[in-house]
Amino acid sequence: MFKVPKVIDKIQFGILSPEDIRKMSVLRVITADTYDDDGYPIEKGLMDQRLGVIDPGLKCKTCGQKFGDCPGHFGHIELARPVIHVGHAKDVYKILKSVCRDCGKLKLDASQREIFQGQLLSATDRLKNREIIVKEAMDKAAKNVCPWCGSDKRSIKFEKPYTFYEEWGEERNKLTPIDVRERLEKIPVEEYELIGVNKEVSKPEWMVLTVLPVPPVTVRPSITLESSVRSEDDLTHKLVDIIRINQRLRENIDAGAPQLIVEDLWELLQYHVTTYFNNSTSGVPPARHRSGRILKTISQRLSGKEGRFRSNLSGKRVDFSARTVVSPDPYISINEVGVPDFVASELTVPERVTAYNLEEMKKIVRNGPNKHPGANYVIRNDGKRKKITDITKDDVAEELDIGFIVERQLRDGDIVLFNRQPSLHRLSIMAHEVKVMPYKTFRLNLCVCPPYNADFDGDEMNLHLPQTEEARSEAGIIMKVQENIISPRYGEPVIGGMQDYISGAYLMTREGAEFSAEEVEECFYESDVLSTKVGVEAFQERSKIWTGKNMFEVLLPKDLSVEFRSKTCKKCEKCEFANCKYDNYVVIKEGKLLKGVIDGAAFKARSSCKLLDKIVKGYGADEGREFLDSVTKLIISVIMKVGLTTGIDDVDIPEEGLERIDEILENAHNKVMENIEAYKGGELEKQPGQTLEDTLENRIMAELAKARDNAGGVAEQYLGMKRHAVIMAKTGAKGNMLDLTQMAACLGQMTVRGKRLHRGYQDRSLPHFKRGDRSAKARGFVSSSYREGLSPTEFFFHSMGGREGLVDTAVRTAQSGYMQRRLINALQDLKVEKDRSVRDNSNNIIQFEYGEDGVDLSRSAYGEAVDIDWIVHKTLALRKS
Amino acid sequence: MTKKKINILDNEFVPEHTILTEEESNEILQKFNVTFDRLPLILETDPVVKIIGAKSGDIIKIVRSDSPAGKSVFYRYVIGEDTKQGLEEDSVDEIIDEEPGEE
Ligand SMILES: [Mg+2]
Ligand SMILES: [Zn+2]
Ligand SMILES: [Zn+2]
Ligand SMILES: [Zn+2]
Repeated sequence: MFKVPKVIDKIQFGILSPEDIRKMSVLRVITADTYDDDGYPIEKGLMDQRLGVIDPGLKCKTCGQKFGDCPGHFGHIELARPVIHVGHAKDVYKILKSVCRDCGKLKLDASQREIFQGQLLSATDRLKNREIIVKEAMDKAAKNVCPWCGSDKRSIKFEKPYTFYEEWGEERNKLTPIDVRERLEKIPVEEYELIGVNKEVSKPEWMVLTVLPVPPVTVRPSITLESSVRSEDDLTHKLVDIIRINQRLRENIDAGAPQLIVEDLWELLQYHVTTYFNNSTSGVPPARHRSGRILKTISQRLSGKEGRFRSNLSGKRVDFSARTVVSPDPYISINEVGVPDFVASELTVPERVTAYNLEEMKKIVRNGPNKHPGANYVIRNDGKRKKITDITKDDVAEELDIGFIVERQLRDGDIVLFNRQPSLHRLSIMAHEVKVMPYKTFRLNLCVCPPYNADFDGDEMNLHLPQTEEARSEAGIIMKVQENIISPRYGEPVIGGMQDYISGAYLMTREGAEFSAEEVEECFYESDVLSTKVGVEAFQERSKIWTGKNMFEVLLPKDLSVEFRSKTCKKCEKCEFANCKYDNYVVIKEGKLLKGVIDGAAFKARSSCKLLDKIVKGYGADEGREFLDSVTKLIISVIMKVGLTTGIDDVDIPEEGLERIDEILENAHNKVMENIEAYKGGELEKQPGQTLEDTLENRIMAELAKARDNAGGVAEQYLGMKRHAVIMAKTGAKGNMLDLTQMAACLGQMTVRGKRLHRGYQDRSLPHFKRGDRSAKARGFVSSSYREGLSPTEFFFHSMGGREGLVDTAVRTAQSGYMQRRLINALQDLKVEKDRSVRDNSNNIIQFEYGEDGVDLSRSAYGEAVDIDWIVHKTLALRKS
Repeated sequence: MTKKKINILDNEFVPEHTILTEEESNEILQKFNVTFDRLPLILETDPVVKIIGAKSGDIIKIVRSDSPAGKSVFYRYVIGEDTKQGLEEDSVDEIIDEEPGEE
């Protein structure tokens, strides 16, 4: 087990004093070299063995412990001249501005001091906390002349990142770090409080370094490459630079070298110490490795996505997790996840042995680690953890007693968390029940794809196994898939039917869909509802013909009454409602599907579907899950009997239709030419607020858009419900009519940034056209359809438009990812309190009522607080009965 | 063209703002069990605040009537420009704000 060397009780932040640094140091480092020619660490060098061990087998010369046990020990460097600590430069500036250059006191008179000190004593509220008071006091002092000694007014100028000047009149004097340190030393301790320094742990002069700590070698281990060449850590490289310059500076000072040379070296030392702390300080050229790579120094180790915080503290690698490819399984419940058996035998749950499960646990232990469901470890009552092997399994089972903890393998019914990145909303992690299965992929019900945004083109997902009873029950109660059918974002189902489930429902329930008793019995058997939802006796009469509607209603709650327009609704001028002659108005009364066809409008995921949400909201999540599980199985069973396919002939249009389309496009082309002629002849009338060119462009665009729509309209007349592609589009299963008309009739205008294509070559879009040609064909109008195929120029135009789409999505995802991060950081600890107000973790009120209306979207009706139509409908239904 | 003086309170998008009396203020603080500094803030120089004449230290009640659940009530504590400056991070450029970069 890992030994805890020290238990952290509290943390106090302060500045290290030179004495502190020397006290914690085991060695003054004076040599810039690391290893000698034999590869042995040089004494008093940066790799001195007293600084810790990084080679297995060696012992630490300070504490005598082995590699891994010795935490490493700090050394130090005595700087020949002090340097400013970049991280403190700004604070130094603020202090210098507000204290007197001669007496070191804060430039406030006695009465002002008293006011601020009084405020500090009673500083509690957010609007006037210590920081704000200190800032006010210092700002005020900075504007004053010293009231204590009347020293003349000289202003301090700060040049980023670490240079200070003093200015008076026309004169200007550079302050060296020595000058700065002297001034800070002069500040009396009584002033510390008012300049925001905690006198218990810090002194302002410590912000100017005279001694530099050298981190232990365990912090900057060297690595040996395959060629047995040692490669040093970036921090070591930087420390080498510092020691070298420090040494040269000291030698020059001792030899009495000219001031100029000393100052140059001093500046160089300041540079190296600065980049050692932070190699991305603005205004300082970053230090580079010999290869030209920018060195990663202390600040770079901590910040950013790959830094200590985001990659080791906010997020880390965890045990009891698994990751593999996902694949679909329509026969498992939406609540379940298929887990490969080899994953299941690796993941374990600790389970305490009680009088009630002793026998069961014995049986599991007897299975050993290699037979599922087995156990991998037991923890005995004396706290000893024992591995179970095939040899010891029977002995361990014998020994098993109440109080033992068995680390049993994952088995059917266990609750696990399932996740797919990017985890953009809370539905990206949901709780599933395990179903152990053969093969190597996680299996997922297709209805749960939308919230995870998963498909099966190689997507991988993560699985986490909660280890305590509380965690498991919490996950099972609030994170279960069935509890998340209704989205907390818009109050509509995010889990529901998609693709074939939608077109299949249409094929099953449309007018004229009839099935023999035998077929129906088979379908119900396959969807596991035979004898639960419908008894076998319903199929006694073998010659009875079932309609699809009869089949569908079997799965509905017996007292459900609801009416809605189906997705295929033709949106007639005057809706006939229940008498719709196209069977597009769904009437469900007391669990009977009397009229209408079931399609996307009933149970499609991520749409304001009208049936699924009623079941979930009215009958609960269990009923919702049951409905989805059974309806999807029933539909695939039916669709396999009916058949659904699509092909190029789905967009075939008879000759006469093609002629009409050609005519429309021809006319449009002529109209465009007329417009161009008018423009050239100066007869075109300018639209208000537009240039003549814009007017022309807009007219042409409008003309061509109208032509495409008309051509599409003609095509649509021939695209009837006999074609399966049309079924998919109209029911909301996949695609839309625009896609189909682009396949059948005409693609239309290609655009980049909302304009017709015109750039690429001088005054033309492609070299195939004359310069300045404004005709439809030369500016990216594609009159071919996908079915016909595109001409070479059209093909280029098409790819130009397509490229913009790709770039847009790439840019959008990057930008929205960054925004998401900022939002999460800003909102992560907001919480709805018992009084329904929203507050942050310092109890600041953000909203007085959640969302300013107190509505929980997942209990709402499509985002509205109440669904008036539904309430009226239910009330009327009650009245009638 | 002559400049017309517009009263922004007449605009339908400007919700109703009222200054709370001392008792009302205390009532609100008591109801939510907070001190005044935990309330959302509004600047003394806010156009509406200037018109209704609220001063730093007042609590303003804002009633919006466009909420799906009818009226929604909000309270804000009025602060002066100086308090605002104190609250502001003294240099925004120092907040390490990584670019979206490779993400
Ligand atoms: Mg994918
Ligand atoms: Zn050691
Ligand atoms: Zn003075
Ligand atoms: Zn209709």
